[in-house]
Amino acid sequence: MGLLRRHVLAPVLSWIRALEDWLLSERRALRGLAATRILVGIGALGILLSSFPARHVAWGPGSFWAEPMRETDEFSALTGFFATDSAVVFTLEYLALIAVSVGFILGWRTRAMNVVLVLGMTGLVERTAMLGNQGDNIMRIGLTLLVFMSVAEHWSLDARRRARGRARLQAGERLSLLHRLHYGLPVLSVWWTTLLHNVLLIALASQIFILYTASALYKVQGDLWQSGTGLYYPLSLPEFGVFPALNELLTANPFLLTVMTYFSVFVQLFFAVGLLHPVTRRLFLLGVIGLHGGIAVLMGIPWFSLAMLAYDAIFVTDRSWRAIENAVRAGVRGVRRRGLPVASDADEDESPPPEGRLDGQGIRRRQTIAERRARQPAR
Amino acid sequence: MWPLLAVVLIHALIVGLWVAPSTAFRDAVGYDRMSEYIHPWFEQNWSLFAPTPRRGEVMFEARAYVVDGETGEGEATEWAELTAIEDSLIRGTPAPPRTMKLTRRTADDLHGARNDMSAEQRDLLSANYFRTPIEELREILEDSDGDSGAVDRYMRADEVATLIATAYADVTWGDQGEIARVQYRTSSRRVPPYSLDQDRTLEDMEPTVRDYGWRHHLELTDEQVELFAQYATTEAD
Repeated sequence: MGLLRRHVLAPVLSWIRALEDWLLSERRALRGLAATRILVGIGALGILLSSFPARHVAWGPGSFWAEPMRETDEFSALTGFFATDSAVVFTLEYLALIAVSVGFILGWRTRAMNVVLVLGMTGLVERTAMLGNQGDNIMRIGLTLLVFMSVAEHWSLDARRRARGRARLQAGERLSLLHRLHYGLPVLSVWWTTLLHNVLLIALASQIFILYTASALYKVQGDLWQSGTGLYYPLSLPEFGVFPALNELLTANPFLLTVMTYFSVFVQLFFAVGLLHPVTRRLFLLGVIGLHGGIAVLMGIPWFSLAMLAYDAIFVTDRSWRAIENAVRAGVRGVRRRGLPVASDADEDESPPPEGRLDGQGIRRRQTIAERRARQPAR
Repeated sequence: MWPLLAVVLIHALIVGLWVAPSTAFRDAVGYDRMSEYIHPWFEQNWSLFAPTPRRGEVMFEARAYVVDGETGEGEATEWAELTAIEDSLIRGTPAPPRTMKLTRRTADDLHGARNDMSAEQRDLLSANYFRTPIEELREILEDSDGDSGAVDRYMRADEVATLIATAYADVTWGDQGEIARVQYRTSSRRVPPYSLDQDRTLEDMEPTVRDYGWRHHLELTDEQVELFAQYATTEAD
């Protein structure tokens, strides 16, 4: 019995405690989620801008041709917002949605922008579901989950305002609920918002794992994917021919074609397990960047690819994001020192304040799991 | 804490089952029960390009029967390939507008419905309906042997196709006289199997053409036609 307790029960209990600690001690992936916010926002903005000249025919009063398909509209509560006969009214609504996506990218009143953006984008693109793609679905699902997370703790206007509010708190001022809301300071208990954030982060991660794994499972059963020529067929079609000559060049060599085809399948198939080890995690993240980058350029579906990359950003550790952040800052400083004009203001170098963390947590993060376990009091 | 975690895990399980290939677990839960939860907000499908990648090129063409206002004589125009518009929207444009799939998706819908029809039903589609209401085609299709879901889908796709043909005709041939009726047709061809010497490309394949009869010229407002011109007047290169 002692053996069972020591080797089965104890590890399970300590794993549960580690999970509790993971869920409750701090909000995870704050920089990754800030990157998600920015990238998925650019994706939404990209859809809106690239279709701007075609907006009336695609979704506006010029989309009368799709009317028969609207009998089966499942999003009628939202699509109704864009159902106007007036080109002017539609354009104003469209511009408002563009403004919301910009607000979301900049992290201005982020949670409100997030809610309006997901409702607005869904209402718009589902008005003509016929022209849509799976990118619309993953954008909607991901944005929905983001509503319950903190996605503007870094690289955002909200973070600046929050810092000002926190400064007032630290100066000993007492802020009313309205003031707290104005500064974007937490109004619910930290315990609850942290838990909600982390649990929804798990939901987003699961969604991405499910997506890649299912996508790969369907591919591995296909003869054309197995024979390593799967990519040749769509890349030969004019509908995926942004640069037909490039597609032809890439598929002409059978070895290169096989490598690319197998790469597409295996990056997806092993993505979830690949994240478990620090080395393979980097390889697989570079892999999906390559995959989505290729799809974006060769097949003319850049916003779908960008949305996917946005969600993959949560798997880049906070430490890596900080390194990227520092490198960017150093680059900006270097450019400035050489006297080249850069569009930025004096606040540029002000790092966003650490959120709800104790000093020295950066050190704690670098501890190995074994060390952390050793610190835990025995039960 | 644990209830919240449980909710998220159950959500992930349902989504996972929803997108998974058919298994004993998936069947045990049942499509309807999952659909109730998934639709519409969490709807997703990841069998993209799989198991068989997309390899068919589809084309959509339209023409009109134009009656000269002065002489009263009518003539059918040449076929115009609308899909070529979409090719030119895509070529060289890394971020094409959404209208790039307008006629392709319409042709896909028509082909999908046709494929689920019986040969007898398919033959009925090439009959003309520019004097008789198109609803009679639905009745005849439903009376003949075959899938009634496919009839429903065809009738919807037919209306979309007729609207597109009408709008295109109004924009393109509207100044030549009165558009009396319109017609659309679709075709497809398949990328030849990969071979080392690549002796045959998509261009070498002969498209299979599917004919449909003449249809009513539908009523559109001037503003609708004007707005559709943004798409219809795109130079095909």
